[in-house]
Amino acid sequence: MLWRFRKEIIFLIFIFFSFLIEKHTLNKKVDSKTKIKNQYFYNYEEIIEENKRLREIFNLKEKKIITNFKVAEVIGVYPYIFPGEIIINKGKEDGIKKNMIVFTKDLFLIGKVEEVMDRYSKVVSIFNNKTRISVILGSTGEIGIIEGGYAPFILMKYIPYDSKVKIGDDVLTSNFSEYYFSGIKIGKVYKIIREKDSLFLKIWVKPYIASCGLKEVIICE
Amino acid sequence: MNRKFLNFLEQILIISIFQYIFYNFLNFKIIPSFFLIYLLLLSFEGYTELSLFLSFLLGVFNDFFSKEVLGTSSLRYLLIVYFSSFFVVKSIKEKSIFIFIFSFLYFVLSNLKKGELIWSGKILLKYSFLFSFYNFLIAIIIEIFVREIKRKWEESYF
Repeated sequence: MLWRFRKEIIFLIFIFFSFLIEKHTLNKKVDSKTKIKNQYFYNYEEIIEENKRLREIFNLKEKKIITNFKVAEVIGVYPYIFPGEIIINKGKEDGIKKNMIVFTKDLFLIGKVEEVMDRYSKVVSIFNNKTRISVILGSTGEIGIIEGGYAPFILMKYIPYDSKVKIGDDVLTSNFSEYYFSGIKIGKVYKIIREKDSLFLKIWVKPYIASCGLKEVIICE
Repeated sequence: MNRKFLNFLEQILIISIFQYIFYNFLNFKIIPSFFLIYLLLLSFEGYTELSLFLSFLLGVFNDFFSKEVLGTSSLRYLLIVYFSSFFVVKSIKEKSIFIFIFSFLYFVLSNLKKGELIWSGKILLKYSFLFSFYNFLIAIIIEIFVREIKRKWEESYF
């Protein structure tokens, strides 16, 4: 009788194992990695690179660019290109709270913390369909809104049709956001579309995070 | 039995090497999934149980290569392989078309989080199509290559 449903049984068993392994990886990743690093120098080049990146991050503190921050490691991305969701190895136990801002080591905006678990957190990046951030154009000072979901770009809306915006202009967070403080670099203007029947321009922005690796991130309030 | 087992091991090793090379050394934005193609071909050949077991195993390999959380690709592979096992597919043409369809579903699944899409529909459609098309082409190449090997093998033995 059971033999007839062997396909379904195997399917359910491995689904269960997949869930188990996923949960286990998220909760145990911090401990296991630290242990391995203490025991062996398994890859010198990777350790040297990691050291360099961490030095750059802690230089920010010395130069007093930002003083109160936490550093986390990226342990998972969804999807693997232009990730809309990033999982970091710091959670409630490390003082991470919902809506904290997440940057790269060069202080480019990645997104904000959306969900906090005990040992890990989920970050919604600017590539995510849900992302809406009030931004300002560095050159003209005009305020618009960026919208995610258009990887590899992000869409900037509500910039007036007669704006003097140019390709290559910086896009920064404005002062009018509930969660983000002003002046965080997001990206550069890549393409400007002037539609005749619209009062506003359609601006494609190339985010800085599209071209930098996501290994360690900075989190601050 | 032993020979068959060694054959499967050999195949897994080859596709793992290909997948690893594509993830780490080639600068492609969209990377075809050799694992998915292999699992679907196995399932179409009638090796459903083996295919389900390998879905779990190759999913873990895939997560290692793509830096996703371990277990997520396994879940997707298992779902796709399970549904694909209900179809009887024989010819190269049919196999390629089904691989296109299931690859498309796989990519859409990988973009779903709690019932919501991570990218907008239009962009997702574009990338899913590209991913499926790559897989479709690779499936055709693999099938032609395998048939050619089988033909040569038969010629030399009989």
